[in-house]
Amino acid sequence: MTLSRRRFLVDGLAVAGGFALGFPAGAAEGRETAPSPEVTAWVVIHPDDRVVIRIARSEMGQGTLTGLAQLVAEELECDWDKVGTEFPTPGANLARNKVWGSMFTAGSHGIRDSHLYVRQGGAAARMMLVEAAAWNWNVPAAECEVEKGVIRHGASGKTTTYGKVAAAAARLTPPDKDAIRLKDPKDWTIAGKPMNRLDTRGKVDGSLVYGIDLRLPGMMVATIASCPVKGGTLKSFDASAIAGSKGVRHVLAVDGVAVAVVADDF
Amino acid sequence: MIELRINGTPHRIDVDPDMPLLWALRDHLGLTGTKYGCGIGECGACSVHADGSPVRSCQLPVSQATDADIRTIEGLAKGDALHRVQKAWLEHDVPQCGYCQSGMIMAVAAFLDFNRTPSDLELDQAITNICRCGTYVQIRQAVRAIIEAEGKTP
Repeated sequence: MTLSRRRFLVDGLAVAGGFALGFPAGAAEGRETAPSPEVTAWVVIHPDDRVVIRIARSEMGQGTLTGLAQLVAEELECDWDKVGTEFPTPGANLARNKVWGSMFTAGSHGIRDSHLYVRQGGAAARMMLVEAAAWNWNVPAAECEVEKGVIRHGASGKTTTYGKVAAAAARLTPPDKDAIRLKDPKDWTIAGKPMNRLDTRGKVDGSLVYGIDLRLPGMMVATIASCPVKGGTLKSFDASAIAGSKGVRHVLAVDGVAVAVVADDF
Repeated sequence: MIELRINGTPHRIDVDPDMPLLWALRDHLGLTGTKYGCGIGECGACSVHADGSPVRSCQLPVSQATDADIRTIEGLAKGDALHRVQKAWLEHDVPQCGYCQSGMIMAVAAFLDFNRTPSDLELDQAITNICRCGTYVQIRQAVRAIIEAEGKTP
């Protein structure tokens, strides 16, 4: 996995647990000055333990958004009740050397083509969060357990939460993908389970913005009428019939087969 | 100038009197929760309430909407408190793409005010809104839950 995120490798600080690890001096829990809540490209964790999972495919009603979030959350071992999502933009993906991979969404490819690397992104974040906690406690990461975003070191009884160590974890170098072991699907508790969708609220209160809802500065609207018979061509049209209608800017022939009325609005 | 009362707020907009209410809402008042589906009064995606009754806003000229209290999906909740239909839609995970659901919710909300205990058949006959995702089964479940939660049976 190529994760082109910022890295803070500090000379003299060392390597532990199966993957390269570097802390800036003093990066202990609670002492961060400018925390980056992005643990991996897929996982952002806020100090209040809210988890934001990045979704790089479109949601068009098939539930891809929620399904991908379940896959990441399963490996992250976070509290599903604290999960939200956000869409990276194609521009951000390009600027970061396609860190989120393909954003193509059609033909059931959204989950099928990305489930492996999004799970690895969630697992990598979990490993980094545990490593950060273990570093802080000066114990081996392998002795720590995680459940629903709470990290526990059994021998000492110490516990902390993802939100508290996320900023420190964000400074670690992500593990090599060969060091990531994914869960056996038979042990899944979030992925593959019938969870309610995460994006329903905006669909019941009218706040979700669909493509047709966008208004850009100077934008006009075109409506098109074409010949109802396949292969039919445009013989003539009478633009004068709507001349002077409020907001109408143009009446145009389109490729000899259709007429478009261009106006300020519908 | 056309004067409208939308979600309790008066508005004055400079549009043709024959502009469908739908486009006054969407393009002139920024209330894009009400959706354009077919434009010919068939699909119901544009459903709003006029004095509590469901209407296809793509078929209602603004000049005929000036005397009514218009309510849109944005005005259905009371502040942060969702309407019972919105709550049931959330709990029963009704929407898939969600595009038709603003109109669907407005139609169901108005219908349940009119018939508090509809049978599935009455619901099917009254709610003529079209959902291309096919969420009708979840819609019936959510409506049943509303009726049962209020201790009524058809």
